Amino acid sequence: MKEYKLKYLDEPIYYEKLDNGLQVYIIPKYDNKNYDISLTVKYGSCDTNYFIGKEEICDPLGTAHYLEHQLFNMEDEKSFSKFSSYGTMANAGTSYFQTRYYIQGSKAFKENFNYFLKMLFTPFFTDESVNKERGIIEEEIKMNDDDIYWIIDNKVRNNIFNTHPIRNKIAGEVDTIKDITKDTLYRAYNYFYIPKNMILTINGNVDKDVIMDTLRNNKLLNIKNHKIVRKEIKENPLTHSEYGELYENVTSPKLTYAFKIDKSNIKIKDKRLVNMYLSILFYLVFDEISLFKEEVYQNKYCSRYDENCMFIDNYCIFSINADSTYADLFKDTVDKYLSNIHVTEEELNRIKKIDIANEIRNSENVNRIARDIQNSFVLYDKIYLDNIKMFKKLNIKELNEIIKNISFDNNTFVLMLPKNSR
Amino acid sequence: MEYKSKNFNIYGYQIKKFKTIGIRVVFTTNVNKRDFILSDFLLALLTYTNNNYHTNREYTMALQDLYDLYLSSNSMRRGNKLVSTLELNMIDPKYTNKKTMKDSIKMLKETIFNPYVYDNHFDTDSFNIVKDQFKSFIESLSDNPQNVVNETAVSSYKDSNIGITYTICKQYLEEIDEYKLYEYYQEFLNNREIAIYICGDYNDELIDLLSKFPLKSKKIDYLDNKLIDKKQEPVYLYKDYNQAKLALLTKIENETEFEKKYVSTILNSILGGLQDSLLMESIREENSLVYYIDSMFYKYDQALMIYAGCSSTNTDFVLKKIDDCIKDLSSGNFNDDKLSAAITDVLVVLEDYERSPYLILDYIVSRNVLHTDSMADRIKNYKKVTKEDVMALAKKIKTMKLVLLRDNNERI
Repeated sequence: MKEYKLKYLDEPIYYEKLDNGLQVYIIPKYDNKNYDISLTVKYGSCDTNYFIGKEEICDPLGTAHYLEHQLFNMEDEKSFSKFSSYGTMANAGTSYFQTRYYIQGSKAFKENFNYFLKMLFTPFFTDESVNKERGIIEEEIKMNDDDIYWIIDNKVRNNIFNTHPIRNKIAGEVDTIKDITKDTLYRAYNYFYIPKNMILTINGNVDKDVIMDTLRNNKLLNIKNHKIVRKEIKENPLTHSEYGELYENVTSPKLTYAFKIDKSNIKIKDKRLVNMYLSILFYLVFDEISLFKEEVYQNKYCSRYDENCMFIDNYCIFSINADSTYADLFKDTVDKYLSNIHVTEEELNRIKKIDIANEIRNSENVNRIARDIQNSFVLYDKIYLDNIKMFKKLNIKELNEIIKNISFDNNTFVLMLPKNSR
Repeated sequence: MEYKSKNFNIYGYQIKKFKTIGIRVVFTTNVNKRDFILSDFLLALLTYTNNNYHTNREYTMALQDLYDLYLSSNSMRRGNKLVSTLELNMIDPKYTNKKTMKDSIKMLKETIFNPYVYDNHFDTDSFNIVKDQFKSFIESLSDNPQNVVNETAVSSYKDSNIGITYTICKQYLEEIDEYKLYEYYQEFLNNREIAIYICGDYNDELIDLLSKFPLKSKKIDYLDNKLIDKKQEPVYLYKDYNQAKLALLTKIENETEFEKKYVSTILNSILGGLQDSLLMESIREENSLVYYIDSMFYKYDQALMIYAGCSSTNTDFVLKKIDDCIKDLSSGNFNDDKLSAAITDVLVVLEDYERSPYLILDYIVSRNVLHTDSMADRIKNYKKVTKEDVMALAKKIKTMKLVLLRDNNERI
């Protein structure tokens, strides 16, 4: 196994790529009593269209999420009961580009690990089990359809993107999941759940030798890899719609102002570095120590707000969400700050100091390190462990170059108003 | 380890494994509606600006300059007690420097004792900003339909402490101005039991700095907790939602001390806490009627709430199934594995409480403020809980209040 020694981390991180292509990262923390095991598959709700040979497959919306639910239903027993008997917590989550399965326990590591692998690599779907799960997922969809944050987020994604499958809800719709059968799930599973399309992270009080003995030559992992060919997504840089208005069960108005920023004019080739700069840029302009924050609060343009940065293919989607009864004034203030961005070297250096402090804090939370590894795999197809080195490289010249080469012209503004105000 | 300062105590938990040091200044008193909301608001304002940093921007930058010092606040009801906390988390000085440590403690001290006040009132701008944020937060609670039904259930018991919620108490927020809040601040500092808790690789110098805080702990005579009393009529709400929500509030009568401290947690786990709890198995897995169904135990209020979201047409069946699960508990109609899983579930958390400074602080605060048992005793006593204990306690569960939110089309 390879070893990576990180500053502030007590133990090295161990890494090995198995013969079958599965990447394994082990982050020991011997002064903890518990452990976490996580398997991330690079397969999410956006992966509905792909090719098996020359045939284009078009899975119903919600397939990846449905598959995640089904994997917990094993042939001869319920996996939750088995994990419970060890006091082990098990769960999973599907997002747009990944599905993550994880367990957390403190006893019987080998038994839990073997069972976790068995659950994930011996899929068992029947018409009965698939039909039974449908009712549960329908209720999940309805629950989300009543959540005002999901509602506004859904509208924003639909406005921002023209053709990208991120426009669709992760769990699908009640109508679309009716078309999911056991064959749909087996096909998707066999296509995407291959070792080279996954990453395994294990952290906590663990013995790396026990882990690798369990993995190497494990018959369950004797899976042949193949090339995964996803349908190419041609997304227009322009937004689909610049405005949206919703009337929902809210007590006061809410808004989201989102920007679709095309990164293709940015000359820096390192995607990760570009994303880091963009995240920092929006933090400086809009977050805790920004003049924007002072202005909107002093003038009561909103009572609360937050912002978010997401990276999808060659786009950065920056969105700012607020509780505001002065939507126009809030929007105008955002526009004002975006049209006149000015970041100083002092501000950038302050962020670097904070990031280094965060690295120290994160070293206590090895789960966070594992999560970064998983996200890095999904976003960049590569693992980066050198965040501190990266922070130190950041400079004002590059940041200013980036600012010159991005545009905020493609945007959408979505307003959510109380139903009784219609 | 206990350190006695002139007018208050400091409780330390020396542990070398973390790279941060956590400190909590905890203020405790009897809970009531006014204090519940004003304590929270006051502490939020104290951590927004202070007399050295007149804007939140300046205040935040000062925290960032101290290697991103975390300073936060919260105020929570625990039975009859209101526990208000100012919390600091700093990078261990061995990774920064001594000056940063001293400045961090100074920042905490200034936050408590040197607020942005002039002419006998808090700064009006800061006051209004934090008040608006708080009001917005309280309003947003009503945007979540499950929250609405849960809150409707508990707040219907106006005379009991379980009924103290943000929505019920918001009138006190509306009435307060920056002058009255300053009076409240002075009252707050002089009428609370106060102690400081610290966790990490701290030294005597740090203890010495904290001991010089001009805090004055006052002995408080705590009133008995006001529990829910009579059963009430169900409440039916109607709104355009895709999914119905229900909340069933129950009371657990005549609990013994052992039941209150230990059996009830295990019962709650078996009923609704485990991933394969009775409710999940019966209602979700066997009948596919819900995505979530949980039970929430109000430890200090001898109450248990069961809540779920399901289709409007299935609410009666779900309620019947909930009733069946409670009957199964009282008749012992559940697998022994569930009991051992529930106990293991609790022990796994307790046995690893040293994995985070926050968990350790939670533990030492609860030992002192809520008089919980030591970790060793807790572990020992949870292992003693038997199936018969759970059955006996389940027989004491009495349904008190149902709140059901359904689609407008279901309105009779």
